[in-house]
Amino acid sequence: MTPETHDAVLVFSKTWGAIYLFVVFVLALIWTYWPSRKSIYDKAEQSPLGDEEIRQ
Amino acid sequence: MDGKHAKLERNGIAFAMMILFVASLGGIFEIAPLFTIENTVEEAPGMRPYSPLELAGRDIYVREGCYACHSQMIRTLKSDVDRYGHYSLAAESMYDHPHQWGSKRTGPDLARIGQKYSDAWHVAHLKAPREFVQGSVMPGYPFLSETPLDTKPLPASLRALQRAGVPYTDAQIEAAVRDAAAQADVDVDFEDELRESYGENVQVRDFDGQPDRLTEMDALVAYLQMLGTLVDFDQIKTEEIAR
Amino acid sequence: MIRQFELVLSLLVTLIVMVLGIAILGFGRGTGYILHGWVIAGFSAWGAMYLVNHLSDPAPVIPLEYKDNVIKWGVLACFVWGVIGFTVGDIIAWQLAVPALNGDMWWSNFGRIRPVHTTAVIFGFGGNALIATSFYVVQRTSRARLASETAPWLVFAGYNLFVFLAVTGYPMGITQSKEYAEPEWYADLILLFTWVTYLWLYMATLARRAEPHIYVANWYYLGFIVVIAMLHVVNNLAVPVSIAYPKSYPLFAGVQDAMTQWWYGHNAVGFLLTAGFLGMMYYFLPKAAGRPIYSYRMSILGFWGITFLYLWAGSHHLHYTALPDWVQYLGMTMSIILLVPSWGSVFNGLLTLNGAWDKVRTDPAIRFMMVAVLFYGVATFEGSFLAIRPVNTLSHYTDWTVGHVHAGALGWVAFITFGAMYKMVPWIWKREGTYSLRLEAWHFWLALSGTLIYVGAMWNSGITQSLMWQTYEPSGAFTYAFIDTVDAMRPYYTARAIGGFLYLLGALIGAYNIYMTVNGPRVEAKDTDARPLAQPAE
Repeated sequence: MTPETHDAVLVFSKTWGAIYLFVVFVLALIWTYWPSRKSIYDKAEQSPLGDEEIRQ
Repeated sequence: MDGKHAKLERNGIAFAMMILFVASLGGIFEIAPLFTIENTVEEAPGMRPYSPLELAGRDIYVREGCYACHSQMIRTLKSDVDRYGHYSLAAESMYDHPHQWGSKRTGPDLARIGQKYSDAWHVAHLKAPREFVQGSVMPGYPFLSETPLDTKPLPASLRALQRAGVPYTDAQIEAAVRDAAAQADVDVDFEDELRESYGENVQVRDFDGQPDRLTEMDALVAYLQMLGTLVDFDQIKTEEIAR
Repeated sequence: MIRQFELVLSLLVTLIVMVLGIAILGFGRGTGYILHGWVIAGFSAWGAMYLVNHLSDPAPVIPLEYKDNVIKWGVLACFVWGVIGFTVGDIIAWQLAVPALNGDMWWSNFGRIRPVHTTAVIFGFGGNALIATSFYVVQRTSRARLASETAPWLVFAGYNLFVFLAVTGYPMGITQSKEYAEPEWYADLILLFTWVTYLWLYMATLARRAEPHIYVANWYYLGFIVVIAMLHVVNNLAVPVSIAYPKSYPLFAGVQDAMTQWWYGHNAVGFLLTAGFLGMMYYFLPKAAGRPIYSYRMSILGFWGITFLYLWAGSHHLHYTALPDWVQYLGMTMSIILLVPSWGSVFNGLLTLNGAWDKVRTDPAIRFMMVAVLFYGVATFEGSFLAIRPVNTLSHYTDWTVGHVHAGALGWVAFITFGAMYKMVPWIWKREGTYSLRLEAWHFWLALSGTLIYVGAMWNSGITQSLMWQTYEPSGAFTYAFIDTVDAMRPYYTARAIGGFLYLLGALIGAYNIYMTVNGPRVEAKDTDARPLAQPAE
C-alpha cells in the first residue's frame, strides 16, 4: 500500500472517529433523557426490589 | 425516535449488535490503519527473519515467561536511550509473532542485549544469576544446559510463520533442522549454507560451552546474542525514521 | 422438538471437542500436551455420553422455578479458583522477595507461575463469579427461568475446562505469551464454543422475559459477553504449528500485534473486570441496600460511555514505543475522557447507599460493596492519570502498574464479588443468612488491610524505582546501576507479600464462612428467594 493510502486512512480515522464519538454520545444522551422514557426507568429501577416471583 | 429505541431495547439481538457495533469501532479506527502503513514499519537495513536456532531460542524465551520481567522495547525517552541504546524501531519487531515488548521491567530491558556480554557470561548467569549479580531476583535456569534442543518441530514452526507472513523460503524450511545444528557449530559442515541463507549477521559458534551437544541453552543464548544487533544504525538517517 | 434440537446440537459440539481431544492425545508430542488431550477427550466423552443417554428421554417437566443448581457450582468454582489464584499470587510475591523460592526447576520459576496466578484470578475467580451471578441476575430481573436445561452446564463445564487447561499448561511451558491471553489455540477454541453458547443462552433467556424493559445490570453483563467474544477472537488469531504441538504463532507481528494485544488487554479489564462487575453492582447493591439505583439514567449513559470509550484506550499501554504517535495520543485522550462515565458509576453506586448508611456499619456484605465502589473510583482515576504521557514515563514498566491493577482487582473486583456472594449464597441455598457475620467482618478487615498494604508498597516501589532509573550524576552518567534499583525493592516486595498473605487469609475465612452457610439449616419458608429485606442485618 502506498503512503497516500495510509494518509487517507489516517485522515478518515481521525476525523470520522471524532465525529462518530460525538454523535454516539449525543444520541445516547438524547435517548436516555427523552422525557417520555422516564416512566420506563421509574419502573425499571424498582425491578430488583420487587418480589422477584418467577412468571415463566 | 422514542418508539424505535424502545423496540431496539426489547429486541435482545439488535441490542447485542448495537453493543458490538459501538464497541468495535474503537479497534477499527485505531488498529486497521496500522495495517496500511509503510511508515509504521520503516525500512531497516539488516532486518531478517530469525534463523531456526534463534527461533527455537525465542520459543524458549516465550515458554519460560521471560516477558513477565523483561521488556524488549526501548522508548524514545532519554533515560531509556541512555541506558539501553538506540530507541526501538517498529521494523525491529516486524517478524515477531508475537511481539515481546513486555509491560514490566523487574529486570532490565533486553531489546539490545545482544553481544553486550560473552556467551559464557550468559550461560553462567542463566544457570545461577545471583553468583554473578549480587542482589538479582532472577530465577535460575540450570536445566537449560541439560535439556537437548528438540529441533523436530522447527520445519513446521517455520512453515507456520511463513503462513503468518514471515518471508521464509521453502528451502529454508526444508533445511531448518540442519541449520539449527549448524549455527551451534555441532554440524560444522553447513555453516556457509546457513550464512548464505540468512545473511552475514548470523552468529555461528558453540553458545553453551558444550561443543558436542545442541541444548536449549544454545538456542536461548543464540537468541539473546542477536537481540537488537540486526539493524545497522550507521546506514539509516535518524530524521527518516523520526515519527 | 426444540429440546431435541438443542440436545443434538450440544452433542455435536461436545463431539467436535472430543475429536479435538483424541487428535491431541493421538498425534501430540510432549507430556503436558498429551495430558491435555486426555483431559479434553475424557471430559467431553463423559458429556457426550450423558447427552446420548438423555436424548431419548421424554421431555422432563421443567418446574416453574429459577434454575439455580448451576449457579451453586459456579460459586464453588469461584471460591476454589480464587483460593488457588490468591495462593499462587502470594507464592510469586515471595519469590520476588526471596528469589531462592523459585526453586530453579523447569516448572517452578516466576515466569511460568505468574500466568497461573493471573488466569486463576481473572478467569477462574472473576469469570466464574460473573457467570454465576449473571445467571442469577438475568433470571430474577427477567422473572424467567434460564432458557435451556443443558446449555448452562455446557457453559459452566466448558469454561472451567478452559481455565483448567490454561493454568495447568503454563507450568508445562504451554503459552503464547500474550498477557491475559496466554492459553494456546486448542484451549482458545474450547472457550470460543463455550462463549457462543453463553451468549446464545443469555439472549434466549432475555427473550423469555416477562418484563418489557431489560434491567440495566443485564446490559453490562451482555456488554461483557459480547465484547469479550470479539476481543478473544481477534487477539487469538494464530497459526498452529501442527496438531503435534501445542504451539502456535499469532497472525500479527510487531507493532500490529502489540496494539491488538493491548486493545485486548485493556478491554479485558474494561469489559470483564469492569463492565461485568458493574452489572453485578447494579443488581446486588440496590438489592442489598433495599433502595433503587440513585440514577437509572446515569447507569444507562455510563453503559454507553464505557462501551464506546474503553475500546480506544488500549494504546496508553504503549506510550513512547514504536507505535505511531497519533495512536498513543488518541489512547491518552480517550483514557482521560473515560474518567467521566467511570466516576458516574462511582457516584451512582455511593448515592444508592444514601439513606442506608446504617447498613454499611452493620452489614459487612454491604461494606464490601461500598469499599469496592470506592476502590473502583480510585483505580479508574489512577488509570486515567497513568495514561497521561508524562505521568506514564514515571509509572510504566514499574510496580506502580502492578499496584494499580491490584487496586482494581483486589479492591474493586474481589470486594464486589465477596459482597455479592455473601448475599447470593444464602438466597440460592435458602439460608437465613450467612453462617457468621463476625467472620464476614474479619474477612473484610483482613482483605482491606491486605489491599492497602499491597497497593501502598507498590506505589512506593514503583515511584522509587522509576526515579532511580532516571537519576543522573552531574557528569551525565547514571547514578544507579539497574541492580541498585532492584536492591531497593526488597522491603517493598516483602511488604507486598505480607499484604497478599493477609488477603489470602481473609479469602480462606470467607470460603469457610460460605461453606458453613451452605452446610447450615435451611429456611422453612418457601419464598426466601425474594426476601432480601428480611436479611438479618446484624
